[in-house]
Amino acid sequence: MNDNPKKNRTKISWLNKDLLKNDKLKKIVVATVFTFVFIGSLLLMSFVFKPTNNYPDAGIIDWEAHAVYAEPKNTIDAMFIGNSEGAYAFTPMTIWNEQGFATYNCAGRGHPLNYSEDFLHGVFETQSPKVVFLETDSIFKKSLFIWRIVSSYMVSTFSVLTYHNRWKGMDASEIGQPEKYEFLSYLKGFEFDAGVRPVDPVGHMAPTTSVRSMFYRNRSCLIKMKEFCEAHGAKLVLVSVPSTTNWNMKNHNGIEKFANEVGIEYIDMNLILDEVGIDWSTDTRDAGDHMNVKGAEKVSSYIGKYLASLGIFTDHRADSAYAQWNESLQKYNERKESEGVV
Amino acid sequence: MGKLTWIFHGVLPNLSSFTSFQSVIYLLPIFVFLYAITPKKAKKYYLLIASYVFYFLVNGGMLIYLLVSTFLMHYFAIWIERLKGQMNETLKQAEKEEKKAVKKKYVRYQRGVLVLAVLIHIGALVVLKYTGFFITNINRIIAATGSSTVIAIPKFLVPLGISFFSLQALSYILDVYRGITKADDNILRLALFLGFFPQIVEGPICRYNQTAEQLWNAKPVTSENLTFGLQRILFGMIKKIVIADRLNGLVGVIFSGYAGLDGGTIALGAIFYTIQLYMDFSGVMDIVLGLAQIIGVQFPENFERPFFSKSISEFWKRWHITLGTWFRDYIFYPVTTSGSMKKLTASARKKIGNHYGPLIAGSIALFSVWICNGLWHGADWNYIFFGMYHFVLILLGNLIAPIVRVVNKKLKINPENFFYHAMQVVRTSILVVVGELFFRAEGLTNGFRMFGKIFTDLTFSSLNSDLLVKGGIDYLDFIIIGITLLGVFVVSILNEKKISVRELQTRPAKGALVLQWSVIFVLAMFLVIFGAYGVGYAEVHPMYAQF
Amino acid sequence: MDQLLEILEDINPDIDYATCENLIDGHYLDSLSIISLIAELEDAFDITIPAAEIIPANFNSAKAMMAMIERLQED
Repeated sequence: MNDNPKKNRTKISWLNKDLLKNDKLKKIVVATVFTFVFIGSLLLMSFVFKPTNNYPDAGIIDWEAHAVYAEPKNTIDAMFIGNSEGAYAFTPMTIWNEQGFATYNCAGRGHPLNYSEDFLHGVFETQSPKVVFLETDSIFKKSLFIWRIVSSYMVSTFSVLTYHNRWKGMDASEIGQPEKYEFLSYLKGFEFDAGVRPVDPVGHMAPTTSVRSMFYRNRSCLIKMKEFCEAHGAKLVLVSVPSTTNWNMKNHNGIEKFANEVGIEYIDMNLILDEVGIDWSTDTRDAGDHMNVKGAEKVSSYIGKYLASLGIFTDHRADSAYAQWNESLQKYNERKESEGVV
Repeated sequence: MGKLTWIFHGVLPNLSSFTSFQSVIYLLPIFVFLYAITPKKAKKYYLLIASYVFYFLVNGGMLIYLLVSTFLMHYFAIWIERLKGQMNETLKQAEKEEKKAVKKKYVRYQRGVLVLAVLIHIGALVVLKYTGFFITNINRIIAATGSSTVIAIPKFLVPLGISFFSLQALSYILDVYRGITKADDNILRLALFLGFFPQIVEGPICRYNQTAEQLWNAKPVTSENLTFGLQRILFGMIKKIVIADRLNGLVGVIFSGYAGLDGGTIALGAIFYTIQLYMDFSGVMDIVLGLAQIIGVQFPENFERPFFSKSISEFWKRWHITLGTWFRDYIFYPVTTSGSMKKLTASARKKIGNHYGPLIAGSIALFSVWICNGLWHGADWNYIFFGMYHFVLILLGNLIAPIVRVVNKKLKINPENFFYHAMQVVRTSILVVVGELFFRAEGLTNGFRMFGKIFTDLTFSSLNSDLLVKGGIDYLDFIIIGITLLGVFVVSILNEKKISVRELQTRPAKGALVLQWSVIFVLAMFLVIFGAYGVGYAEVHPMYAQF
Repeated sequence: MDQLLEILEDINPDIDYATCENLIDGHYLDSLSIISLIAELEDAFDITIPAAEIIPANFNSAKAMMAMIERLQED
């Protein structure tokens, strides 16, 4: 050929140099491609494994609390949010039984404040309760660190990490369906535990002048919740349920100070135990940490009377639209009987 | 994002279980990424800082034990080294007749420093781990005499990994004393050797000459180290999180509620526990060694297909290997080569021959090793029993070995025969499972009761769905366990035949890299879907971390 | 070397010491054999074998053992 040999040589050496670069580049490209494929697969798996109905068998988290979305629109009079302290202490069936008001317990184990806030927003999409009770135990939990908010988003986006176990019994036809809420809970979100582990409340709520400080992000979350409630025609009330292990005067002072500053009502049951009727030898499931069914009924009875005193709620017991509440009460009483709760 | 999938993440990943799914998913990429971008000269300091940060996050102020241990060992070793130097100088100038005396004097000084260092470390270990045990038993003796005095048992917080880094520290100072390694003048390098975080939880127990230099010269991340290291990490995570963690609930229910169960179920419980322990421990080792590979460091193996062993002696050369070699090098050989033992061996060989002669000294040494092995695992009688159980089995094996050889020759049995080999493997596995029953039982008395039930009540009637529900497991779980165990078995066979799974992946001329990443992808997906983690599962800490 | 081989044959006659290079790593000599071996070697060659010398590198082959013996004899 008449090609310039010099040109050929340059061409080849250029190719060689590129091959060297190519090898390292190739490794990085393959690694990056696989990382994206992996993330994509996780997202796909999250979509596939996501439950689309709220039946407990579908395996969703917190199905008791989530069952609130199955309640008919605008039937809930008041709701409870908070962490396990609230979940074990508020039993809507007692309030229904004594007052005929329809309340729902959206509190749950381990719920951090921002999760409670999201429940609040979610419920108001289909309901318009007039009172929102927030159990105060989660207010002092350091759950709103950036780290935890970020990991909450990650775990929610890659929900396959939570629902992967559904491989055991998923219904393939469900995949990609819009979310349905059909399962109604007769406990209305209440965590039913009839166990008894008594405690000696010595030193509980011992007086002190120290005031517990609130993490600034928790504080602003609370204020946002109050404003949200007011904007939706509801009242936010802070409640501290009886607990010897979690509640003390220092915490009380912290909440009271905040409540006075911002103008929120605060009910601390730990200071009116006699009025509520708490007996530490029968009313706690775990030596003072949480209430059991007996304790919850006393707490809820008190709340029921409080709601009645507001004079804005009607007794729905004869209302046909609330028939399932009467049926739920029956199931609730049967459960109590079968577990030996007097 | 639908309402049904908004999930809170209320708990910080539990770092002490750095093998926990969350920790590894969040922290491993961050760790590797930061390591990769750290300049080469600074990588060693990054590893050291990361190790101390890890330790502090997990165990807080207990870090002080590790720091003090490192500090003391560093200066004790230098002291011994200095004495050696002085000894050699003096010897050079000494007259021939004096040499022996000079050497003796200096060796005594060195031994003094060594004893001091060893006593401090063993002393700390004993006080922290065993005070409760001693006092409980003293209380028992006091109660037996009728007195009503009860000594209060002080509660000591045991630092993370003390059983592991103490052994490494001791091996370092002993090696310096013996001249196997030079004292390190760089305290940071020693600190990294003693405190490197993947090792500190469960080992492997390394020697200074094995890993100190490697860690200090940790290499940049290469593609090959990254892919194969990741594969090993994922393989280990699958072993632990798919198999071991899945069995945890059932094993717990059987061992705590054995009184209401029949012997057959108890036997199964022991088998499940053995599987759980092996998968958990070897799985964590895979994670540790995989992580080490990513930073270009090679750690010694701790497991080499232990359930392919033909005898209990062989089993302990394949299970928790680094602990076994530690006892061999620092207890067994020193005891058997001590003056009185050597004399004993020499005279015994003359009287009862080559096999049984050394067995006397050997058995005394073995006894010491097994007392230590049992105690090392825990401060309770069932651990001591466990050690003695294996000691007796090994002793018996040694005693009858010549007889077995003679019998085999007479009966024309070929020990290489497949069925003979299979019999040996099955027998060894059964013996191991029995040992693990006692190991896991909640106290020695319960261990004996459980063992007794296997013989008095060999049925499987209590193996019903109620038990499975209590144990949080169902038949689908067993299918997954079976499939995964099969995979592990296949890999084990390949490894036993010295076929490298890694080497297989580098063979294809084209697409080898894609193949390697595909394996990573498949392993990761399998782990995500079939892991026993998340809601409904209790997190299981690495099981050997408690020792 | 012959003396060494004689001792080794005595301990375990089934091994070919001329060619085997992984007596320890291949588990041909177990810890009990080592104890006997050490006692014999110390006796026959008038040396003391400290625990520090009981490493695979020194015992994996007859050649390695010989080298160790010669080294210890010089001390």
